[in-house]
Amino acid sequence: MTESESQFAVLRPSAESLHHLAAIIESSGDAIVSVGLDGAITSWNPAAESIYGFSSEEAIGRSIGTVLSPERETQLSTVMSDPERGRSLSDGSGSPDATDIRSLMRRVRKGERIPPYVVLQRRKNGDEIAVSIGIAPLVDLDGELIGAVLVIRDVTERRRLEASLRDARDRLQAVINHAPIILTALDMEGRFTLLEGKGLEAAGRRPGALIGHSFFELLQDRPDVLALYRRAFAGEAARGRGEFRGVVVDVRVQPLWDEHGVQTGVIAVALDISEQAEAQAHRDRLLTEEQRARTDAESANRLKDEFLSIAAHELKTPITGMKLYVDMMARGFALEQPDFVSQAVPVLSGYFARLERLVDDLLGLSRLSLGRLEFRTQRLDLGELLRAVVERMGAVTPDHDLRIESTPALVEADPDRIEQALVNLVSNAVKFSPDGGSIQIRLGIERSAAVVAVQDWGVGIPEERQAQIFERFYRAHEGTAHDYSGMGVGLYLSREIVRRHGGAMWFESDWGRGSTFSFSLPLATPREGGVRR
Amino acid sequence: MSTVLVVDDEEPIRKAVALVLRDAGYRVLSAGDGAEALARLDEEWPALILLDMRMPGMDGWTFARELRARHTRAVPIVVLTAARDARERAEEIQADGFLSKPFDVQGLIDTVEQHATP
Repeated sequence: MTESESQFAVLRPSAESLHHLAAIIESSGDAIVSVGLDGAITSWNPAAESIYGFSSEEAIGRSIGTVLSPERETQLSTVMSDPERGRSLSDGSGSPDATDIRSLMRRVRKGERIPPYVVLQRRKNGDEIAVSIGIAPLVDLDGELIGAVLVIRDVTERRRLEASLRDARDRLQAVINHAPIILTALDMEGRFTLLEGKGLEAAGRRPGALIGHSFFELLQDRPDVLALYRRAFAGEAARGRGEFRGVVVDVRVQPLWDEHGVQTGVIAVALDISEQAEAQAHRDRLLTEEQRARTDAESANRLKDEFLSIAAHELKTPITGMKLYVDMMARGFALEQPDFVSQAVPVLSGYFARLERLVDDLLGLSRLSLGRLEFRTQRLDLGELLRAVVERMGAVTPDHDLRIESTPALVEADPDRIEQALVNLVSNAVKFSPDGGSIQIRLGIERSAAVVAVQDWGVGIPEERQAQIFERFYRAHEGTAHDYSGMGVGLYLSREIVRRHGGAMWFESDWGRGSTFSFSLPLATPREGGVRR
Repeated sequence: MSTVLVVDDEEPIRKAVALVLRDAGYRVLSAGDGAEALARLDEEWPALILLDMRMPGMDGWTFARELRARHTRAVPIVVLTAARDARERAEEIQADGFLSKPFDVQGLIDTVEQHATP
């Protein structure tokens, strides 16, 4: 055996091991391709055939550059320089500088190994595939470089999976970034490990800004929130509501466990429910308003029923008196007792006046509430009207001394309505001076207004009831020892009448000492033509 | 001669009722409210009380309560009322009868005759 033979025997693989090796290459899932120094393909295993679609007959002998990158350099370099599409799926450290297989082959011929890198290529049928290619120099038994071996793996599917994972992750991130939530994760020491979500904006925080900071320090002034998280740290899911800088959140806190069941922290999702909370508050407000409106309507209804019953009673009292007196006359009382007539006439006149007043007030009230209180205004002397009213009323109030001080005062007014207001004030003064006495009625001029004051020295108005005195249906003496008749309409109506004449009504009163009710009416402007002539 | 106590805040009505009842042969006392009526009872015990319910000062309800608290002796009461539910008013104070306002002379005389104890 020669030395070279013995060397050959030592180094040359046995036929068995060669066969073994060939079987491995044949059954490999990776394409294993060898090329000669000229770049021509010298071997092409079945995996290469299935990846690229070229049979070994088609591939062997052709330049590796034309088979592996039929689109040539431009195509490949475009792919490689496109950072998105050409992003290497390997760790990147072994990325080739050059972009086409020929320049890589030149580097391999210098003895360099090209670690696996990922490129996009095309199959024979034009389909795009992503492949990972690693290239190693091929030397013969003497250590002479005779070509290169390429190990090529089809990573199209893996790449698609990774892309879809990346997509899913990006979508999730986008959702978190745009959802009105705050996603928080804390480790067991209470430090932030995650802080994301659009809800942070409203809370004035940036995503990730607090990573590593202590949650407990940050929220030490919010014991309600801390209690919620403590429950989660204790291994229990918790839910609550919190408010931060006007943002209302619904918080769910869950313990976080690793695969061995050891708690590693907590995770919390805070959902911004400010809008719902606002909407709920709005609904609550509407409901409250509606309830109040209903209560108001109910109490208005009750007030109306009460008023009707009082009004009926008020009307019945004079009617009772009138009926009795008229019936007595019919039965001849006047004949038997001659002074009966002189007693009955003022009583009947008084009852008539009372009925008239009640009916006027009821009509006025109804017109007012229907918005149909109309005035037939004319120029008149208020002093004259006042004297006429006082004279008429004096006749039916024998127990009271009506005193009048007046001056001529021209006003533009509806005489019937102003009389109604006057009669109301004077009859109130009479009614609330049950022990008789004098009633003082004064008319004076103050600035450009006629001012009427009706003063009595009667029971007065309790101080705590004075504020409501002009309210419709309000009876200031109801329930007191001076609860005389009345519908609670007179003052309300009188003030409305005066106001609609451009005047005002007011009063002063001392409980137990009497009242003074006053009103003003603007004086009529002098008639220009009339003054000169 | 039976005595009737008329309690009503309307003076003309009190006067008219008194005139009618005197003419019918009764002795008549009158009062303007419940307190005045209680004072009258201390002077003289009537055969019947005609009682208005709504009065300033002491009203009919209070008077009826006070009457029973102060006196064990019974006296018939007839309620004078303008209320629609006159019977109910009478029952509220356990009165013996009622006379609805407005009433006429005959109605007044009949009611008093019916209820005044001889």
